[in-house]
Amino acid sequence: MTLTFLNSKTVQQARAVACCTVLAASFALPSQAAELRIALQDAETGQPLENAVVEVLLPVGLQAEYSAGADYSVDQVEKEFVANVTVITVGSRVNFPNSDDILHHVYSFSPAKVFELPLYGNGQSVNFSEVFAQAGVVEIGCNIHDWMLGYIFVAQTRLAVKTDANGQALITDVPAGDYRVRIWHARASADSTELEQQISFDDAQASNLRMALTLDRDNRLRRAPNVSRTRYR
Amino acid sequence: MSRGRAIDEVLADVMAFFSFRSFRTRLLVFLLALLLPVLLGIYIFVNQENNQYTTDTIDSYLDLGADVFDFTREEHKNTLLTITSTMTRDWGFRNAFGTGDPYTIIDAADNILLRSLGAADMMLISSMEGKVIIDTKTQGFDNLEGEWLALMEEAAKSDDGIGDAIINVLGVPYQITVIPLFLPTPVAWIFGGFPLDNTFTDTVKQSIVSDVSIVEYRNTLSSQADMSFNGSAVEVIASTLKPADQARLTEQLQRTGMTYTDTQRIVLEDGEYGTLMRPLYGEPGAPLQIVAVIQKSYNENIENLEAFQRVLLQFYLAVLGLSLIAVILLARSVTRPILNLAARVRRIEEGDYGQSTYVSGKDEIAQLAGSVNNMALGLVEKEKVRDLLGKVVSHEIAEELLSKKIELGGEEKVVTVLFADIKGFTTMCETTAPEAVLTVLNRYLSGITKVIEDNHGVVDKYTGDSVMALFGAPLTRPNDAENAVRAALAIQECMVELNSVNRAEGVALMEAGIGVHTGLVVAGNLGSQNRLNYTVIGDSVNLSARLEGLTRIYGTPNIVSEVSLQHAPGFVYQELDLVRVAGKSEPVRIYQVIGAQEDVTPEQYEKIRVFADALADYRAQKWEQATAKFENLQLSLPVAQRAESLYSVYLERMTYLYKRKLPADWDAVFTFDRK
Repeated sequence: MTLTFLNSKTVQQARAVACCTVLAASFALPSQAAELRIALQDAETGQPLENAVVEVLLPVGLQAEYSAGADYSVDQVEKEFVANVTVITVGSRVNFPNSDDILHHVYSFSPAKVFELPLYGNGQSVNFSEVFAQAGVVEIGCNIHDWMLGYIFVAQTRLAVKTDANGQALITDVPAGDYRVRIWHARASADSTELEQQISFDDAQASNLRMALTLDRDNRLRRAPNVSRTRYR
Repeated sequence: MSRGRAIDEVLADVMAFFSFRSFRTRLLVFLLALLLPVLLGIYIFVNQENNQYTTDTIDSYLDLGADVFDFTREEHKNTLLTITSTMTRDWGFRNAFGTGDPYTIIDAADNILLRSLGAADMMLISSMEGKVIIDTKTQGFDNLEGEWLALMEEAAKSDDGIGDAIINVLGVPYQITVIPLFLPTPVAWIFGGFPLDNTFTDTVKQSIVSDVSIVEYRNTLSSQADMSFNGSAVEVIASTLKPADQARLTEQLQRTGMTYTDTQRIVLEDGEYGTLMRPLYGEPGAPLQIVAVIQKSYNENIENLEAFQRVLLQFYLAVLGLSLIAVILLARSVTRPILNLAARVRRIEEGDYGQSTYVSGKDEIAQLAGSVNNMALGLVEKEKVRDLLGKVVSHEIAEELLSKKIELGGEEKVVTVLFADIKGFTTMCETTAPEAVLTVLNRYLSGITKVIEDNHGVVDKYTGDSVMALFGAPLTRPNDAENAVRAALAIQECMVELNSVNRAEGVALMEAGIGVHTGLVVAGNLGSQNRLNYTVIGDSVNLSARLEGLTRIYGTPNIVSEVSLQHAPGFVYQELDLVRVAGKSEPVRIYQVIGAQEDVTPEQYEKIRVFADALADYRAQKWEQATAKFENLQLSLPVAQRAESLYSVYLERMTYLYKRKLPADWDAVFTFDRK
């Protein structure tokens, strides 16, 4: 099986030109937590951007109140990780069931969490006992199927969501105040400063985050059903 | 003028060269002159075509070899990629890389190289940003630089993250490939490489069956257009050639420079090699270029060519041999009948007409042979006629008849006519059988004829036992009379010989009576249109016959007329008488020829003198004196001959005259009034 690699982010250091519009309403609703309404799109195509993660970075003092671990599950269906991007909170436990007929070997060499789950099959209860204790993006792969690539976004608090198919997401229960908001996408350059914004949150009115993200080429191995390498050229 | 002559001489030489002794040689030379240029032309043409063909074949082999070389290199590259790609997805390697410990990673890399079974020889791993993590060749740079960096950037730009290049690793050109390491996103560049060394060239040689050399050009000239290289610029890095041939290759490439399109011919130790180059590294004109030189020997094809030439030559020899045999047979089929005919014609020339030549076929030679046979038949007929004519008439007359147009009529000419009669033959006829008579007669006539012909006389006719011969007809000679007189003497001698035969056989002896006279006659063809006779007629003939008849009366073997004596003075004569023959009014003085002057004895001279005295006395009518002298002469003869002798003729005549009263004008002419 041949895997296709599309682009390398190290070379294509295209800066993400963020065109962001931050509308912060100034009227507040008492005793109600603030909201952040997010709408992201691909700057190049204008299409809604799915699977981007937006996280509100709370000061350390506020973090404890909003960080509660939970149990998650990242399934493997037809040799793909489902969901492709999973947002969890620090201290969460993630289970990696296998819905396929064949075995998978899940691993990660990401600094946030290095682990491996040696070959296991369908029905085998794999409860990943260790929790994801460190915030960061964990790239998970399968040692058998090189194209299988999934992301576990380990957020510091639960104020992190990923955009849906419409490129939209909603973060609720944000305490009022000015916070930094970070946007992550697998194909967006990590170095880009535009991906971090200062946003004022007010109980009275929801904040909006609308951005068009310039993305790198998809740089992962692509699943190739046939052997010919030149087929995709 | 001189030039024209020179050309003539050359032409003469050429003609002399081509005037062959035999038809076969001419045919052979003709065949060779025809066949050799054709064969030579074919040979040259075929050879040229073959040469072209073998050159084309080698060149196409080379093209193919170069393509296979490219393919092989590509395959090697792919193998390298496959190995690095597969090995780096090995869990053990991933784990090792995951540790981030360079020593562990370098061991893992070495492990991969070991497991590649030589397909990969070196490995270099860098971060995605180009920081060197490990380098199995320990080249000593911390960040990718130069060609390495260029290769990384090229791979990063490509859609599949794969790149390849030829990079100098510690002085050896390496085929390098690069792919990213996925964990599972790309985290590092994996460079793998194998050296383009002798192992590589040996491997390639096995698949393309041609010699392969890796050659490095270092362009020391500033001008990019200048493709030539100076002495130190060309270096063979790896090669399947022997070291000596590598040196030859280097030397040649320095001279000819570099070309990727044309096939060069380079002479190595064991012959000429077709040489083709393939670029490996560096653009044309770049300071450093590395090329693959693919070479194939022409020898193999030259051997085939030589084998073909041998077969062709053998075929030519066979063709020539067969042609020569065919020509010889053909020549023989022509010359043999011609030689036979020539021999036949020679035989005919010599008078042998028999044994006709048989030539089969209907060709010109057969026609010629038929003509020759017909000619021979004609000649035989003619010869028969001539032979017969020569027997019926004399040889000269036959010739005269055959050579001239035969017509009636004649010409007047002075001819000496000789009559010879065999005395006593009539008597023999009465006592002897006719067959025996004829035999004896033929013997005498043959003898006489031979004597006559020996003395250039021509027998005119035989009349019973007498022969008439002509001297001066049909051909006139200056000494005809002399010949006739000599013939008369010879006939007398011949009679003596013949008589000795007769004596032995017991046959009666014969004597000849000969008359000779010279005078004007008419010679020519006498008779009718259909039946002719060449003869002479005239008084002289008659007189000659009369003189022959008189020999019986005078008892002499011959009588020669005075005219003949005057024409043939060189003999000794004795005057016999002065006579008037029948039918002629003029008296004729007659003589007997005694012999040639040197043959006459003194006794004979004495007798002649005495006889002449006696004759003078007789004519002076001194009868007593004459009688005395004649009687004396008669006494000198044998008794048996006395009665028939000349002297007795006069003695008898005088007894008669003695009684007569002779007239005053008695002329002493004795008249014969009967024939």
